[in-house]
Amino acid sequence: MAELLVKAVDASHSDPAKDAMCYKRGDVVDVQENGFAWGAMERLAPASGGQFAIIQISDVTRQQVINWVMNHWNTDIAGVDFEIVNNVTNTIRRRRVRIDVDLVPAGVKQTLNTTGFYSNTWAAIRQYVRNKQTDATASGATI
Amino acid sequence: MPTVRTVTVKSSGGDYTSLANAEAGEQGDLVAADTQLNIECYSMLDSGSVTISGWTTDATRYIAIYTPTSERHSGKWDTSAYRLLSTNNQAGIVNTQIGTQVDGLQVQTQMTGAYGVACVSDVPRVTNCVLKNQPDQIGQGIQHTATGLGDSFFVNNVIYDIFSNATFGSGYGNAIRCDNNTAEVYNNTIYNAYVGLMAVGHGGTNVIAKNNLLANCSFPAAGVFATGTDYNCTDSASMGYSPAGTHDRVSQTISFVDAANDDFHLASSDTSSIDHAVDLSASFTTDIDGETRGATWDIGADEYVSSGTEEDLAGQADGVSSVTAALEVSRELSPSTDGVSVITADLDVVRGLVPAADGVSSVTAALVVSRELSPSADGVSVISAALDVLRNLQVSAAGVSAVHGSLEGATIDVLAETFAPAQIFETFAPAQIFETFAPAQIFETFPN
Repeated sequence: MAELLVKAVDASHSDPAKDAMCYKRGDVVDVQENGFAWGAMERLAPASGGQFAIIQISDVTRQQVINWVMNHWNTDIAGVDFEIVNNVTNTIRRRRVRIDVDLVPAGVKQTLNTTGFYSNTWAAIRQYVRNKQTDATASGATI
Repeated sequence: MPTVRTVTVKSSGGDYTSLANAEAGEQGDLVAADTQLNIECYSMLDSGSVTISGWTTDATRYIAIYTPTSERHSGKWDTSAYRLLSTNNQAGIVNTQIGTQVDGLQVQTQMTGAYGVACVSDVPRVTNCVLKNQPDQIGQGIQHTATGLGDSFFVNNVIYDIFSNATFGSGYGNAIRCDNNTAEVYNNTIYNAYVGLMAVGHGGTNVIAKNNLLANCSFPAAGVFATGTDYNCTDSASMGYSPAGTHDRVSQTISFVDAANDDFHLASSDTSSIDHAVDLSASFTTDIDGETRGATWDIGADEYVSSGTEEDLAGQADGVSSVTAALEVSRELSPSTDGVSVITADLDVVRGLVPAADGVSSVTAALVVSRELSPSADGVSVISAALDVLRNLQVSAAGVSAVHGSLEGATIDVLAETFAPAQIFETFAPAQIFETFAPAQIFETFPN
């Protein structure tokens, strides 16, 4: 099982370039194994002023979803994969993958807001997972 | 003055479980909030790269990332202290924010086939850090290529294993690279780098380097540095930058404590750097270990201090709460002012632990106390000697409630207190006890 630390509140900046580096609602900030001892600010539910929600996917491993915390790189820059002098220069925005909160049922959103925690299977959650580069939702039985 | 907000990064029991998560959770407009953010990192392995971007900060409302003293390395890589291991092929910390400070961290990069990855990138103030690249990979230590983030201040860092090769040349493998901003580069120890100090495109006006120790580098330095750059030391035949400093030391034999095991503290035998630096106390006064720089400064991140503390550890101002000597204290730990609550010597106290002021609540010597533990002021509640007390545990003030001596050989002279039998924890020869205690008291506890 894996637990996803998901940004629950948009950060924003008036400068579009800076705004691209702001975490947005649904961004997967961190991935840990099931039962991970999250910190106090990581566990604090949005309704209590917290910034995150924790989504547990009961039938995937951390390793299967760890790439979700990679940023969205500009792979059009020649040599970007092998010349990362400055990570920010080549970053289009934070994270390649997000949870599309707009697709999440109201009841689940309410749970996430009040408790900061939601658990379900990959089959149930995959419909909310969206690739930022392609804007496609996840499909298939496995990741 | 901005409000100071402090959050913690701990493996358990803190606000966040990684520095990257703290950056995500706290991201915002510090200027509008009129807040300066402290991120305290506690002892743990923190795996993952950190990008500090998307904030609004300025020179007084900035982000300070640091380790508390108790969680910090001791001038060499320490696997029990806080350390950041970057995501593969990414920098350790990348910053785009004005005023960001990093102090007392350990950062190592990971690379597989990438190159140019830096331990710390575009953080304007980096102090007291231990930084290294993955061995045999081509990277950078500290690099500052951005503009407008504030003047750079790179001080008291140990940076090593920063490689390049003939193909990439001096573009990489820079332990400290300054492309922009005014930069002060002082008292860093750099070992096994392709280029120790690199100044690019400044025209000799912006980057000033003093007191840096550059050992085992292919090129100790390169570029045109500002006038005043001086007092740097290298084992190479030339420093490599221009203009040369009149006090630079080249072709030196540099002696570290244990370079093979990455301990770059100066050895007692070193003649290259000890007492050869210029005093920069107008900017800072301590070394990477937090030790006060001596009367004559040493070159590099470490100020050499002999294993024994040769001078008194004497709290001379109110408000000192702890006086501690980890090794040998060859003179007194004798605070003479109020406010000290704990005095501790872990090893050998050759002379006294003699508090002469009110407020000391505990005096402890872990091994040999060859002279007195003799508080002469009120307020001491516990006096403990764990092993051999060669002289007296002498109490001449009110308020002592317990005296512990683990072995034989000590006399206990109670001049101001009467002990109930239950408070005497140790066995002493009756002859010694008779000197001090009324027989009625002793016979109850230590029958012959």
